[in-house]
Amino acid sequence: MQPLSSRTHLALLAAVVAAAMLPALVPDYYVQFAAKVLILGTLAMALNLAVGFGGLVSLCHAAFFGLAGYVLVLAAPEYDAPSLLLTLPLAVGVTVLVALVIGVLSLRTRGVYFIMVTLAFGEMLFFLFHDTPIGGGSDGLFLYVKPVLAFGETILLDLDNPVTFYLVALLMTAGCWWFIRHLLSTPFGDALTAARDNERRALALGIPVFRVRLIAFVVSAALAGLAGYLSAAQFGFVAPQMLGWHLSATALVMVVLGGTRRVAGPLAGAFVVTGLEEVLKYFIDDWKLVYGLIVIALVLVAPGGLQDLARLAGLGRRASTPALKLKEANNVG
Amino acid sequence: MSADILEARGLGKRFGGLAACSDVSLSVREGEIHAVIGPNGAGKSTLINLLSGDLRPTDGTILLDGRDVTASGPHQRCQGGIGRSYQKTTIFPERTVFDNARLAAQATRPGALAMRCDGKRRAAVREAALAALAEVGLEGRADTPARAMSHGEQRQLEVAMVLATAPRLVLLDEPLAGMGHAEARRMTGLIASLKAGRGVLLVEHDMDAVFAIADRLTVMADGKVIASGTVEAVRRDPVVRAAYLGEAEEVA
Ligand SMILES: Nc1ncnc2c1ncn2[C@@H]1O[C@H](COP(=O)(O)OP(=O)(O)OP(=O)(O)O)[C@@H](O)[C@H]1O
Ligand SMILES: [Mg+2]
Repeated sequence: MQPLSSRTHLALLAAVVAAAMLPALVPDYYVQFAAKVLILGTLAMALNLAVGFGGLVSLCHAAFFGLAGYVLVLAAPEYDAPSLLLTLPLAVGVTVLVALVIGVLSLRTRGVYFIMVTLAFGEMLFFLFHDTPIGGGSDGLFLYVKPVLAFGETILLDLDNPVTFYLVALLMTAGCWWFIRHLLSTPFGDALTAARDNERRALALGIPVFRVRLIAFVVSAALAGLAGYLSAAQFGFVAPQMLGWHLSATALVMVVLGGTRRVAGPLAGAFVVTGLEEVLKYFIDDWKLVYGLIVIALVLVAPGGLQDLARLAGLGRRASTPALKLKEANNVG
Repeated sequence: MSADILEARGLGKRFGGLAACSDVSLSVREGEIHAVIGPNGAGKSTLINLLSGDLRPTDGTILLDGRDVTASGPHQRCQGGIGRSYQKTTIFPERTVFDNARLAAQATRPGALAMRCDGKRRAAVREAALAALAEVGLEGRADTPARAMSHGEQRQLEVAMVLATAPRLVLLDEPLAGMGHAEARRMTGLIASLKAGRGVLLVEHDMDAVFAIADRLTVMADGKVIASGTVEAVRRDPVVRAAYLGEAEEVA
């Protein structure tokens, strides 16, 4: 991608300013809904860094999302407000370490195997919190007081305030978009997409594909963790479902619906999926069945979305390297 | 006589029961074109894959500038100065010609994985990419999507990408395959010019081109080297005439 131009920056700034007006225009309920969309949109954009730009179709990103949320709740003092400055780096740091381990172990595989291995790791984390008492088991844990950013006695940011929370989520989303967009315009981004398009050629050009993918996977997990931290802070609650494959798959649906080629695409996908859920919940009692059917229909008609995913997972006919040779090539790296 | 850039000793590669390469020893010096010929399935591409690191040998060692690189991966060998082209054109078809060359130039220069944009570095990479395109005669096609080019031009682009990585050893796997007569002549001239300051290992079926530009010739059959030496000596070798050249001349 081209480096970010000042026009892109202006457009981003305008979008953020416009979005920041929302709390002045609509009731709190919608502000909270918008914050939820931003958080899930960030998760989906983070996932798409791996899926769309790295060609790494991961099914464990909810685990990173949920893990960071759990770290926030576990690290929070019971009756005091947790410090944003302490708990956020801790939550993202733990996520990074876990992603590093999962990445090192799973990035040796390709295509469907990568999907399966990441799914397995995600479920391991799910069961770690579901079946052991560390995170309150299947009931999950409450976060009684929301994180604050305090300087001495002065509270600069209190995430308990829905408007403040929304603005923080907005900032995170915009920052995330900018960061991914920037990353893709650097030599690192070139190396990542080159490895996605043709691993053999990338290696033969001197690109350390494994390292590049590992870094991208970890960065993508860190951004997912950032979103998960805010999600736990928004709802004041974490449960194992937050780490499960169901949310991973939902995030993947957002990516497919929004398109894998644009950085902001998955954000639109998050809006569609979350909005649909919201509307159906309101009008229909047994909304889940209808929701599922509509999502399937949307995914099937999404322009190019599914083909893109299949291609990225190496399932399409356009997979550029015969599996056998690829396996051989990987023995070396 | 200049030193060996690359030396392979007793290289072997088995695919299950099939010995695609066995006990292959050869060297490439700076300033020479070392051609490898042989019938289909002789193991020429396998040899290139072993030298570039795309495949790992079952036996033998590979020395690059006297250093053992047998265990290092393809990206490390590229960083060490080995550039290669593939028998089946391997480029980035969805990107422009310039972008293909740019990726190649960028990957082997300082800041290859930088997460910052740096105008100076970008300019240097751009210059190297354009120089490589100019060397193969594609400077006018910089903005064309690679997939929109003719087969011959795509082969030229692949060579430009190899050159953009600033290699000291170039491995070419049938660079003339599928090219028209004029294109092939142009490419032959280009390959001949590559040996200045570099070593070239050329796998090629086009005997006229090989005899015109090769300094040394190795003949393979069934994974083994059956003859090696100067072009003249190999041409006179009765084993070679029987096994390969005679047959080729009859066909031609
Ligand atoms: N990845 C692989 N797996 C199994 N067998 C292979 C593989 N690659 C090559 N072979 C076999 O090894 C032998 C040598 O193949 P190679 O491609 O090296 O021949 P070549 O000399 O390049 O032939 P050509 O002139 O047709 O390109 C062939 O019998 C081929 O079928
Ligand atoms: Mg071959």
